[in-house]
Amino acid sequence: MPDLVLREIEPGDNTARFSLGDAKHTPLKLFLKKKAKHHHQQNLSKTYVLVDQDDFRVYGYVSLTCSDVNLEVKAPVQDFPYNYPCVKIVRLAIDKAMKGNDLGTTLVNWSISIAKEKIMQNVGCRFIVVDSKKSAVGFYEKCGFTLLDTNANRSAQHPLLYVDLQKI
Amino acid sequence: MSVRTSVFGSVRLTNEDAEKFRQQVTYGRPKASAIKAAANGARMIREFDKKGFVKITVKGK
Repeated sequence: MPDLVLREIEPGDNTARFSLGDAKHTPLKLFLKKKAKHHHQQNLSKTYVLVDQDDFRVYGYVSLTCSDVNLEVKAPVQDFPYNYPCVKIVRLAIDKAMKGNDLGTTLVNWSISIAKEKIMQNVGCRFIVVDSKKSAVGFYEKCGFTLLDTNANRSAQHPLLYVDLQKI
Repeated sequence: MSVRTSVFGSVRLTNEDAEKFRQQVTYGRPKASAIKAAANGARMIREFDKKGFVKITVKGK
């Protein structure tokens, strides 16, 4: 297996061979191949890739963007009755050739720390959130995310999970 | 359905979901796995700040 580095996506990165092995994950593949570099350049989302240093083949990626949590109830923090700023994990995927190596966990750890160390401490940001695929809820929980524990959310197509950055 | 969200949009919580979120945030305790994830990630951030990349060891290697 190749040595990998984690860094920001670059124009010359090779995404052509990125494969997830299942048609249901095609949107994740297409986002990397067609949109990730453009969004990164335009500062709409930031994409970090796991890339082979020798041929720049991308084996995994995570894309992050700014978002907010809009609550229709009394605010959880006193005297802050506004939307709560958060970082959202937009996309995360690992090439089928690298499955089983905990690289997804690496990307989640990285994302949590970008939000906590870079965003929260310099701008203000309370949560990192993800609209997970149902099949990935257990993965995110294992990585430290908390599932919004309601029947509606548990049965949703993309259940919401979050980490309260203030508490870690 | 009272969780409304999209890939790049806001997360809007209403009714039971909003109240549950408020309760979980107000009274919830941090998960050990989240603290561990943040610690692991912080090590990568420090390396990234120095070099502009993080070297990742693939376990299956």
